[in-house]
Amino acid sequence: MRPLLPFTLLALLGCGPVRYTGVLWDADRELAAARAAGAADRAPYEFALSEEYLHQAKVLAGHARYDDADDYGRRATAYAKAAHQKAAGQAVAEGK
Amino acid sequence: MRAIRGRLLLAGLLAAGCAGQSLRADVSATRTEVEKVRRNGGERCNPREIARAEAALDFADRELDEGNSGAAEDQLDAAHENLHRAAVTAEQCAPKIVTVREKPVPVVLIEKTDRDGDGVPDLDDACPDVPGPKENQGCPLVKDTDGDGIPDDQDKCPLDPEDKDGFQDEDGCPDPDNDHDGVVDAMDACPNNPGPVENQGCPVLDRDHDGIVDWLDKCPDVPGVAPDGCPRKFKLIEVKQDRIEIRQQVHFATGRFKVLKDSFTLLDQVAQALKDAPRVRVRVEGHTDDVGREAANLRLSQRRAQAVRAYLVRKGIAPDRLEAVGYGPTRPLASNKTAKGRAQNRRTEFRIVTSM
Repeated sequence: MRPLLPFTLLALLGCGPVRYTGVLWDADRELAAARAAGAADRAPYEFALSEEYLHQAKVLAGHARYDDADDYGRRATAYAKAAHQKAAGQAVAEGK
Repeated sequence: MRAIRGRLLLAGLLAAGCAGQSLRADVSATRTEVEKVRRNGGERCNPREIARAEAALDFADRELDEGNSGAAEDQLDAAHENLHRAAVTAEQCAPKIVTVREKPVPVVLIEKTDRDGDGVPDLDDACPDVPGPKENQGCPLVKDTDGDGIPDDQDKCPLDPEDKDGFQDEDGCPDPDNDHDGVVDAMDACPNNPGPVENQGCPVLDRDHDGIVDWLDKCPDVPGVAPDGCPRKFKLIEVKQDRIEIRQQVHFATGRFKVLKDSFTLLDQVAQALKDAPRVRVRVEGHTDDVGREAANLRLSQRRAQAVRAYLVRKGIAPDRLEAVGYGPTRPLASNKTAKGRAQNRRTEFRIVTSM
C-alpha cells in the first residue's frame, strides 16, 4: 500500500506543479553554475536571456501557468548552459 | 435584453481582438528594430539590453496568445525601454566609419551641353535638368499664390499660407490646432500633445496612476488616496515611489516558508496599502544570505515570496497584481562576511513594478 502513496498524491495533484518545480530547480542550478564561471561578464547575452526566462518562468508559475513556466524554465536552462560553456571557453583562451 | 447583451459581448470581443492585432503588429515592428540595432553593433555594445528586449518580445507574443493584452503591453514597454537603451549606447560605441577622400581629378569640359533642351546651355542653366526660360536662368516659372514659399504645384492649400510652426510644414496648409484637442495652438501650452482646456491644452498626467491627476496630487510620484493623493500613514510600512518599504522584516519559521503570526500585522498593512492604490502591481521579492547552497537558497526564497503573495491574495488582493520572485543570495544589500550583513540580506521586499 505504502509505495502507492506518492503516485496517488501525484494523480490527485496533477503533474503540472511537480514538473515545473523540477525544471526551475534545474534552471536555478545551471544559472548559479554559469554565474560562478563568470558568464555574467564573459557571455552577457546568453546569461541575461537565461535570467529573463527564469524570472518569467517563476512569475508564470505564480499564476499557475505551469506549461508556460515549464517551457521558459527549459529555455532558461539551455541559455544558462550556453553561457556557462562560452564563459568556460573564454577563460581557457585567457589562460585562467 | 438578451439580444442587446449579445451585441455588447460581440462588440467587446471585437474591440479586444483589434487591440490584440495592433499589439501584435507593434511586437513585430519592435522585433525588426531590435534586429536593426543588433546589426549596428548593439549585441556587442549592449548584449544585456538586447537580450532583455528579445525576451520581453517573446513574452509579449505568449501573453497575446493567451489573450492577456495588458500583460503583453507591459512586456512590449519593457522591450521598448531596453531597445532604447541599447540603441543609444550602440551609437556611441559602434565603430566609426572614416571616409578617405580621394584627390579630385581635374576635368576639362570642351563640349557645350544642354541636357533639358531648353536652349540655355548647362553651364548657364541654374536648373540644367528642368526646362525653363532664359529670363529665369533656365528654371521653370512656378507660382506661389499664398506666398508661403511652397510652389502652388506642391502646395495642398495654395490659397492659405502655411503657418510654419514646425508641425507638418511641408504640405502648405496651416495647422491652427496641431493636436486637434480643441485648444488653438496660440493658446495651447502643449500644441503637439492633446489635452483639455482646463489644463491649458496639455495632457492630463497622473504619473503615479492613483487616479488623482498630478496638478491636484500633493504626492504625484507616490500612489496615494483622496483628498491630497498622498499615501496613508502606516506604522510598519511606508509607500514610496518604487516600493513599499517595510520597517520590520517578514518572519518565517527557520528554514521553512510559512509566514509567522507576528508578521500578520505588517502584511495586513501592506494589503491595505495595495487596496488604497488599486492600479499598482507589486513584485514580492524573497532574498537570502549566502549561507548554504545557492540553488537551495533560491528555492527557499521563491517559496517564501510565494507564501507572502498567497497571504496578500487571501487578504483580498487580486492575484494578477502580485508577482513572487525568489532571488536567493544573488542581490545582497550588505556584505555576507558579517552576521549583521547576512541579517540585512535575509529580507522580503515589495517592489512596485508597474501600474495597470
